[in-house]
Amino acid sequence: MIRHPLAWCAWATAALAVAFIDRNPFLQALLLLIVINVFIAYRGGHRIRIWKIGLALAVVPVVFSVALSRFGTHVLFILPAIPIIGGRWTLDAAVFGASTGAALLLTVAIFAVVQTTVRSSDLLAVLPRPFYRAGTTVALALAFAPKTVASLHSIREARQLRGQRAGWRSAPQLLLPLLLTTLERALQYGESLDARGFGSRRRSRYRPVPWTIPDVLVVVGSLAAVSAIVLLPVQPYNPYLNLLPTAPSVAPILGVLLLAIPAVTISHSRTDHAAHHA
Amino acid sequence: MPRLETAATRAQVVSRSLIGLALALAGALTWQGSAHAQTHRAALVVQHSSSWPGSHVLWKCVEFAQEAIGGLALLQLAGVNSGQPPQIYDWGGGAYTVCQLDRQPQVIPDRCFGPISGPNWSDWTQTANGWVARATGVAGYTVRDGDVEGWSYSTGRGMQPPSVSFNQVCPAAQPPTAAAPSRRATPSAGAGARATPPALTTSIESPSPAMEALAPSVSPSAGTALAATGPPTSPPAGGLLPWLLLGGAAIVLSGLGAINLRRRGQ
Repeated sequence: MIRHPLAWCAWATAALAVAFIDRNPFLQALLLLIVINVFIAYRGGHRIRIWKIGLALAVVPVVFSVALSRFGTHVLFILPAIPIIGGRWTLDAAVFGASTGAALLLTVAIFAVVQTTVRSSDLLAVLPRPFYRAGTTVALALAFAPKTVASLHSIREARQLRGQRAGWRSAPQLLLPLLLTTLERALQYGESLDARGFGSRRRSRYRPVPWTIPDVLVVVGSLAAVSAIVLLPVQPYNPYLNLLPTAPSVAPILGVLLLAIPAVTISHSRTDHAAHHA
Repeated sequence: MPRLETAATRAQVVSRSLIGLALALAGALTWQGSAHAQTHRAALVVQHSSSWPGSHVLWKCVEFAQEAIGGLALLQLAGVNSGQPPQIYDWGGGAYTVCQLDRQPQVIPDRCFGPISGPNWSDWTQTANGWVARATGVAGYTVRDGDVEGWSYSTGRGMQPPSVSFNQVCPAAQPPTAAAPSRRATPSAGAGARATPPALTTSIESPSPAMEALAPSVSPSAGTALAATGPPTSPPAGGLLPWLLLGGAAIVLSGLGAINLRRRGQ
């Protein structure tokens, strides 16, 4: 069980580096498999919504590329001379869009893992002292949007339970309770910050997160993966030049596989995880 | 009186300094002009595929008057297509692909690559770390004095041209009178480039006489041809290992994911 936020930051940085730098489709597929594995291991398949967003984002470049690019040699069909979309539609352009879309999907997936595994309070605790106050403010501000969405949902639910119609016409009636709830929460935040002595020089720590062996393993593995990707020559993939991707060399594969450490270590620490949930 | 004298001397000083300034400017301009007039040289290496019946490697030392010339102009000046301009495919928007160099391929496929991405000419530049593939098209870079540019005909990502140094292709400068017979035509190429710079970009359809005159010097020396007919440099090591690794990792990861999913489901 990886708990330390810095370990997750190292993992996410390494995974993003791989996703951005290397465009070999085989490596992309492997990385996606690994990220899905880590996601399942730490969340158990909840929060499907973010994957829908990722998939939608991945489709957009395909559509744009295939509809707007006229390059490539593998012609799918030829449209008559309609402005903008007329002309040759090529498989090369679709594959190029898919390659870009896969990188976008990977980015969303990696952030989904980070969002589900790292609690902002843990991250705040490891911030260096000069950033603590600014970090707290940013974390509170960032937490405000999802909280507001959640309270909007609960207000709508309450209205539905009372038999009132839910639709766009009821939006003004939703606005006032939402505004009141948000103001109420802001006041609560202020009071709780005051109660914890925010603004004084002292910094409170609640249950500091210790470094465990899996944490260290993840950090070391991420560093190795980043150096493997950055230092070794990148194998470019350009579907316009050659549609069939080349096989990736062994070292980048091993580097990417190191990113699966979080998913592997959790299988070895089931009891710890159960205790955590109990 | 002294006042008049000083006025006269001041006028003298002003006129002298103006003359001096003019002389200095003229000198600078002529020096600049002479610097422009000197020839620059770039080395060109053309590597045929291993199945090519003729000599596999061409070396060309190309002279040009400009500070830098485009990649296409280098090929035209070298006359590597037996004096003909290299066959190119115009993608539109100023992007070109070189389809034929030195008569290979003998029949140019449709749109350079044909229905499938077959063998094609790849463009390389030599750096301190060896050959580096050009990421831009032939219109996207310039060649300067002392550069080594390589072209190789191969399938897929392209094979590196054989390693060669600039001095091998372009030996130390010789006076024009002492030039070897085989290189006799090269100064005229420099002269042609110097005389008609606009012709470089417009002479794709009609080669200038200077380019045709270059044809005899295309053939490399016997030593070059012998040295180059050995086995071509091996492509980056591939083999079965990456595929085994990828497949094994995919199977293990799928299994792990299924196990974790089932455990979480309980």
